[in-house]
Amino acid sequence: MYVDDLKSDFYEFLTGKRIFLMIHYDIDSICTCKILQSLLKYKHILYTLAVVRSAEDLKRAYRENCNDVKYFILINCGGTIDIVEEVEAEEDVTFFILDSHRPIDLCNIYSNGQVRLLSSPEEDALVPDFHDVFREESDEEEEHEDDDGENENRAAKRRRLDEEEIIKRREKRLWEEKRNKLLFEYSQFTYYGKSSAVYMFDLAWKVNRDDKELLWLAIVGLTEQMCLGKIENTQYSLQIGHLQTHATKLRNRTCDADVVTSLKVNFEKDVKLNLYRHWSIKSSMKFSAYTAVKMKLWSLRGRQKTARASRRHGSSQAFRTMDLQLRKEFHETLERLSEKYGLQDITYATFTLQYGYRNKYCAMDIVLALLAILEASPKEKKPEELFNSALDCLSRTKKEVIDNAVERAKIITKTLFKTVQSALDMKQIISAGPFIYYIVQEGCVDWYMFSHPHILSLLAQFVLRAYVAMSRNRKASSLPLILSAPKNVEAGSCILLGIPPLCENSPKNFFGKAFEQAAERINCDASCDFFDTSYFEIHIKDRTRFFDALTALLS
Amino acid sequence: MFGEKGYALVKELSRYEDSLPPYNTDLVNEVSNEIKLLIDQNKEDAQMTTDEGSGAPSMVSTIRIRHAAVKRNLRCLMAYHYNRIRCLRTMRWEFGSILPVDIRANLSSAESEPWQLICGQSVTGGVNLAVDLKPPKALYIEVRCLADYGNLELNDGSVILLKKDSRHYLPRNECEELIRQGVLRHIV
Repeated sequence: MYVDDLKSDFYEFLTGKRIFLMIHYDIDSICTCKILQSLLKYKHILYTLAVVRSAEDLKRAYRENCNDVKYFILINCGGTIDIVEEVEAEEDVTFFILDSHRPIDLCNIYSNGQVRLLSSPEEDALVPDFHDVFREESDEEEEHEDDDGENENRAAKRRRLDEEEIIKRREKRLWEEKRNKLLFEYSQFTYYGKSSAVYMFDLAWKVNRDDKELLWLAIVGLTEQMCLGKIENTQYSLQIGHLQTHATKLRNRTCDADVVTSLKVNFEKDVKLNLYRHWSIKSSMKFSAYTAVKMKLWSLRGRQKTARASRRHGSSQAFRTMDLQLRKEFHETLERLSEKYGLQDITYATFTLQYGYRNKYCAMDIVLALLAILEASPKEKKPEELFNSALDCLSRTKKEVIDNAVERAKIITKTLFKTVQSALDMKQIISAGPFIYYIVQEGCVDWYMFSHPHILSLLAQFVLRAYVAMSRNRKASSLPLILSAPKNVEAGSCILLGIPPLCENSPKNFFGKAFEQAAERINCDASCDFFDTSYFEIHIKDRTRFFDALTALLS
Repeated sequence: MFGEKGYALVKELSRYEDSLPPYNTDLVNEVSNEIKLLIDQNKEDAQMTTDEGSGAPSMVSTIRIRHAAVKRNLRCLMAYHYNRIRCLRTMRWEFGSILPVDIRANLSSAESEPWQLICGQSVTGGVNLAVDLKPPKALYIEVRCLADYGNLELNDGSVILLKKDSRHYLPRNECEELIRQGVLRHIV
């Protein structure tokens, strides 16, 4: 069931009730959670918060708390599974789900009030009609009743019934075929919908609680989707336009534009260089995925080119210590140069957050910093601790947390580049016919970073782009990529990620179903515990057979 | 020697800094007996000096010394009791109105009675005077759980599971005790 009016049916409905928040372990959810927390505080709604990473976590959290709490809010999790069935929920428990994962499970959509979806239904997703998927069981019951009343003149009735029954069965078979077809079409692709943080910010706006801080959180949530390639570019542009109107409105209202140190959220054109504000331009250009792919920086010629380009504007000096004039002209210089080096679309629209004299962060920088906290922290830290420090990173008072995270994000960027470089140099990206694959070996530099889904997805995009840029194969851009990295060395499991080919230009992902079927074919024990089904976990020893099965399936 | 017992009392105090030792009834009684004895002796001698006029040798110096000893003993007794009260006062803030059993056993009867009285007064008319020194900014606060505490029942009857590293938004007065105990941490 979709909730039409978030304000009255969700926010005001929850007033005075104890609720339980389940937050998925990703950046969009963390931003959403922070917006929601500030909304709940206004109404003095008591809540308990837990982090979930997989369906297993979700079930455990539910079991532990279902006796005390009757209202559960699930953020970016639970939408794609039949939640009532999965957790064996009691009648009086209500779930509110805000999930950007798609497709949403049909049982949740057609639930009778126990599951309430906070996102709005999408136009382009073809949700099958209720009657095409669910059918009342009465038909069979009737049959049974008929069986009972069959005492007198059995023979005559039997004949008539037989005909009826055959027709009925035929109808049923046809209906089932149609149902399976519809269900397959509906669940064939996994993809992402509108960012949950943007939904939550809209709610905050509707209840007149929007401010610049919340706007910034919504921006970070949206930027994460763009950065990890979860949504299409058009969708991103639409949403960013929507947020820009909010930014303009909020700026006018506070009238503090003339104060230099006030908190400002600015809509800006920025360049696709990772973290350059906190790094030097040279290193940023060298390691960023965009420039690396466009200028083929893993080759000697590419490196010479970038050396020349970066000599023109600034040098290996840290960006923040560069001359003010140079810094101001940086974007223009880069745009002028972009034609020469084939970097036409290097700029994109984004927001920057500015407060005080020294702090200026681009939304992308924050996303990378959060990613570094969530997925590249020392191993012994528990996810809950990392979640807490990610929340700290988003609050502006703890500068040292952000600074540390930015430093670590630089390491990630470097590692990504080096991994791609070595993959290309050693020719480790292998074509298997209908797809290409790359296996991150256990011994390679910082391999443990890639056992986390988000960094793995960054690597996947980077590898695919680099492969297409380098490959002589004309069909390269129409091949999807599968990436595999070790997940748990002791248990000997590895994580798989499939991403759609570049030419598709849409992040709709068909690997979820393909992985499932391939695992079925070779009969290996696979655990698909991720909410995003394009990730998969299998045993390392099954990997070769799994790839063979996939090749057979996809060709 | 005069005043030795009073000195022992004070020494005991400094041995147990920041904690409350059992009330040393014996020693306190001995010190007060000593004071009584000295005063009686002083009285006698003073009587003698006034009665006999200038005949007997003057007892003034003896009386002076005894009096100094009385004063010193009194000071020691005062110090002993004052420090115990101070210790009790800090404990009142730390533990709330109900003391742990092992500490209550260390109190003398003269100490435990006023304790009951004070605690009774500080919760008058439904207002707990001992809770906040400064008025709180918000009635509800966000806390993080630092240990597996188990179930916590709130005043309204609802039950909350406090699990390590979970976050909660709770009424301020309910979690203050737990924050002091180190189970929860206030997130600012």
